[in-house]
Amino acid sequence: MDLDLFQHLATGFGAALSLKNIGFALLGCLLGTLVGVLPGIGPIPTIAMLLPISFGLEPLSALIMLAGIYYGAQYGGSTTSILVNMPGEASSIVTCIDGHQMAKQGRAGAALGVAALGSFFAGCFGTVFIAAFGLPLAIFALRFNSPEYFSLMILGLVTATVLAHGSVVKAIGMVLVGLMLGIVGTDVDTGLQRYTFGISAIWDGIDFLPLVIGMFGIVEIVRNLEQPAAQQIAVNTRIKGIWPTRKDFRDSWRPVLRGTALGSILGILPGGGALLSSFASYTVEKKIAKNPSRFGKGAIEGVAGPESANNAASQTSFIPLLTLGFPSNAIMALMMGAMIIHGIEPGSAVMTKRPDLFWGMIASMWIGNLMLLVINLPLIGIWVRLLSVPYRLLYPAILLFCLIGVYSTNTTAAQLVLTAAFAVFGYVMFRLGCEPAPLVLGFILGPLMEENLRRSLVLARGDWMIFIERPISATLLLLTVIVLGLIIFPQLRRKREETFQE
Amino acid sequence: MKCFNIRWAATRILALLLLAGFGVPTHAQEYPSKDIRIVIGFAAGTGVDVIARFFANKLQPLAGKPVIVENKVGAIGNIGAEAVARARPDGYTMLIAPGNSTMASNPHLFKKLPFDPAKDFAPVSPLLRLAFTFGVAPSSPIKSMQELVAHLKAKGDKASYGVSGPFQTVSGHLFKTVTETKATAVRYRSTPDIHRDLLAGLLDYMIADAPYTLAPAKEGRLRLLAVATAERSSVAPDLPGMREAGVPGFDLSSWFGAWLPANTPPEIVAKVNKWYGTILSQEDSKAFIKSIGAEPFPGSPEVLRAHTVSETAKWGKLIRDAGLPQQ
Amino acid sequence: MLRVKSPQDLGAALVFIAFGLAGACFAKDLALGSGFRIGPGYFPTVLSWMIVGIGVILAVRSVAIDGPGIGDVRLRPLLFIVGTILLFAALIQTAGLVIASLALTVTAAYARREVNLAEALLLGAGLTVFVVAAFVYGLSQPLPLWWDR
Repeated sequence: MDLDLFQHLATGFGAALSLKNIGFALLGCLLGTLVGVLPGIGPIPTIAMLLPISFGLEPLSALIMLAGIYYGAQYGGSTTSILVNMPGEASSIVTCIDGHQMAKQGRAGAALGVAALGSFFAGCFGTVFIAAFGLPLAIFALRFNSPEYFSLMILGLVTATVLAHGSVVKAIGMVLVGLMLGIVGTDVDTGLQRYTFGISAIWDGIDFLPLVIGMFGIVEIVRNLEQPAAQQIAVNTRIKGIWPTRKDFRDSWRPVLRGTALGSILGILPGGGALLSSFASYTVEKKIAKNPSRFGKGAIEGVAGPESANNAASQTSFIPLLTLGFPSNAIMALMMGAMIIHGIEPGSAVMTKRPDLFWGMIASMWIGNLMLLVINLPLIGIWVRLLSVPYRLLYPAILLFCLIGVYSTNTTAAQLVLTAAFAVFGYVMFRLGCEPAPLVLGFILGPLMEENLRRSLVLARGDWMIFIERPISATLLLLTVIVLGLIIFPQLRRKREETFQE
Repeated sequence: MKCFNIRWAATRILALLLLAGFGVPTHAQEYPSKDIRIVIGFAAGTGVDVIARFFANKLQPLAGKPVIVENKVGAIGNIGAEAVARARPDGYTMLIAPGNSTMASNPHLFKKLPFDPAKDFAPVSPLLRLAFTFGVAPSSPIKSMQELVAHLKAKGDKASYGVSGPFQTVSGHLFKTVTETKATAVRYRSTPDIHRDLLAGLLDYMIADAPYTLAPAKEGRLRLLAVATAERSSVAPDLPGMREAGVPGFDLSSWFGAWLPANTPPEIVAKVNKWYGTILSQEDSKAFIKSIGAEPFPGSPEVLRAHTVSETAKWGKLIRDAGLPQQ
Repeated sequence: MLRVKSPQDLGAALVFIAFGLAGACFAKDLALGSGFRIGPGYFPTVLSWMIVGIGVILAVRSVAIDGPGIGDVRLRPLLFIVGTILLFAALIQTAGLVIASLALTVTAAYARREVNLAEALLLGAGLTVFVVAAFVYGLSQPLPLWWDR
C-alpha cells in the first residue's frame, strides 16, 4: 500500500460526493433493495432495463447507479431468506438455513441486524481491498483456467455436504441429484440434448428460480399450513427484541471477520465466487464451532459469516473488471457493456486515464454501503412487524410475488409448472429427511465442474495429470482431501458418542 | 336460472367494459394505439438484449407509446421467434434477433423448427452488422494471419482454438477447411472464459465478436489478426479483411434485423421501417452502434428479405460442411 | 426377518434408487466418450449409478439403524398450493394478471380448512392492485394485464 492510495481515494470521494452522484447512488441502492426483496426480479434484469436509460447520464453517475443496484440486491436478498425462507438468489441460500430458523424463534430482528451490519463491514472492507490490492489480485485471478475451475468445483461440492444438519449420506445423495438436474439441457461440448424429453422450456437447462422457489419457498408455505391453525404463523410472534443483543454481537464478530476475508478473496474468481464464498464461510463456522449441532437450528454465526462473505465478494467481484476488463459474472458483463457504451474501454487504462472514474466508483461503493445500512436498519422494524400479520393473509401474498417473479423472468407458463413440480419433489424429500441446500449447490456447481473437466481433458489431450501438474489446481485438490477428512472423521466420532449415550 | 342470468349479464358487462378499454381493434392509421412488445429469444443482460433495449428505448418517442422488451429465452432464440410468428399480426409484437442465427442457421441446426423463417414473418428492417475477429495471445510470436496459418499447419491437431456458440463453431470449421489446418475445437460457455485460457497459453487462437475483442485489443491483452469478413470493416478499420490477410473464400458476419408476424398490414410495416431508418440515422445511435463494435445496416423490408434468403443458403452449406448435428 | 427401523431412510432410498435408475436408463443413448474426449453420456451415467449406490446404503441403514418416521402428512395444503400454482400458470397467459392474481388468492385460501371467502376476495383485490402498480407500472415487467394480448 502506498501513500498515493489516500490521494487517489480523495480524488474518488471528490467525484462521488457530488450531490448528483450521491442521488444516483441512493437511487441504485433503493432499487437494488427493492428487487432484492421481491423474489424473482434480480439485479440482472433490472440493470439490463436501466442500461438504455443510463445512456443519457454521465458515465460515473450511470456506473454508480448500476453498481448500487447490484450490491443493494445482495443486501435485500438476505431479507426474504430470513423472513420467509425464500432465497432471492444463489448466494443467499445459505442464509436461509439458519436465518429463517432464527426468525421462527422470534429472532428475525437479530438475524436481519447482524446480516446488515456484517454486510456493511464486509462491503467497507471489500472496497478498501479493491483500492489497495486490485491489480495484483486480478492478475492472480487470470491464473484460474479450466483445470483450476474443475478442482475448485470439486472442493465446493465436497464442502456442500456440510450444509446439511442431518444425515451426511442423504446430503451426498442430494448433491448428486442436484448435479443430475444441472446436466439437463443442451450439452455445451456437443450441442446434444440431455434429459430434455423434447420439452422446450428446459432446452437450455432448468432455470434456477423455479427450482429454488419450489423447493424452498413453496415447501415452506406447505409446511406451515400443515401446522394446526394456532401455530400457523410464519414465525414466532413473541418477538424477542428487534435488535441483536450484546451476546449476538459477541458471537458474530469473529464470523464476520472470517466471512469477509473469505468473500474478499473468492469474489475475484470468475464464475460462482460469491456463492462459493457464502457456503465456504458457513462450512468454516460450522467446523470450528464448539457445538456444531446448533447449526441449522438458528445459529447466528451461520448468518453473520455467509452474509459478510457474499457481500465482500460482491464488492471484490468488480476487481477483474475494473483493473483488467475481465467480467467475472453476468452482472459484470453488463457493467462492462455499460462502460463500453459510455466510451470507456474497461481495463487497466481506466485507472490511469480516468482516475476520477475508477476511484469515484470505488468511493461510491463505500458510500453506497453506508446508505444501505441507513436504509436497511430502520426497515428491520417494519419487516419484523410485517411478520405479525396473520399467516392466512401473508402466504397468498408470498405465493403471488413468487409466481410473478418466476413468470416474468421468461414469460412462459412452463416455468410455473416446473415450480409446481419442484414444490412436490421438495416436499417429498423434506418428508424423507433430505434437505434442499446441498441439492441447489450441486445444481449450480455441477455444470461448471463437468464442462471444465471435459474442457481440461481436451486441452491436455486426455492427460489427467493436468490437474496435478498445475500448482493452483493441485493445491485445491489437496484442500479437498483435507476437507473430506474433516467431514468424515468428526462424523465417525459423533456416531461413537451417540452410541455411548444410548 | 335467474341467478345464472344475472351472473351472465354481469360478466358480459364487465367483459364489454374491459374490451372497451383494452381491446381496441387495430387500424393502420391509428397504429400504435397501445404498448408495443419487442420479443427477444435471449436472456436479459446478453448482447442481444442490450441491443434490443437500445432500440426499444429509441422507438418509444417515435411510437409515442411504451415499448417493452420481453425475454423468451431458449433453443438459440427459437422460442422467442416462435412467439412472434404465432402472435397477432397487428404490429404490437415484434422480433429483434441476430438474423444469421435465428433465421439463417437455426433452420439447418434443428430438425423441427417451430416456425418458418420465410413464411411466418414480415421483414421490417435490417438493423446492424457485427464483425467477428481472429485473435491470439499478445505474448504469442504470431503477428499476422499468414503466420497463424503456418503455425497451425506445423502444429497439426495438437493446436487448439476456443469457440462458444454456433457462429464460432461454424466459422472455426470454415477456417480449417479453407486453410487446410487441423486444430481441435474446444467449446466454452462464454468469450471471457476463452480469452482467459488463451492468455494462459492453453489455446492457440480464438474467434470472437468485435464487441468483446476490441477493448482488450486496445489494452494489449489480445492481438487481433483480421476481421472475419472478406473486406475491411468500419468497426476496426486498421485490421485487414480475410482476403487481404491471405485467406480468400472466408466472409462471415453477424447481423441483426426486426421482424413482425406475417400478414401484418403493409402500412404498419412501412411505418415501423421508417422509425428504424430514423433511429439508424441519428448521431447518438451511430455512436452507440460504433461503441459496441458494430456498424449500422439500414434498409427496406425487401433488403432484409433478400439478405435473409441469401444468408440462409450460405449458412446451410456451411453447417452441412461442418457436419454439425441436427437437434 | 427384516424390520424397517427408519421409514424416512427407506423412503429416501427408494427415491434415490428410482431416480438413479431412470437417469442411467435415459442416458443410455448418450455417448460415453473416451479418455481424450469425455462424451455427453459419461457424467450422467456415473452420477446415476452413484445415486443408486447412495440409495442402497440408505436402504441397508433403514433396516439397521433406528430413525424418525415420515410424520403426519396432510395432503390438503400441498394439493391446494400446487393446484393454485397450476391454475395461475393457466390463467396468466390466457386471462391476464388481474384475474390470475384474484384466482390465486381465492384458491390459495382453501389450502387452510377455515376459509373466509369475503376476506380472501378482499385480500385478492388489495394484492392485485399492489402487484399491478408495483410490477407492471413500477418495474415495467412484461406481464399481460388482461386477456387481450
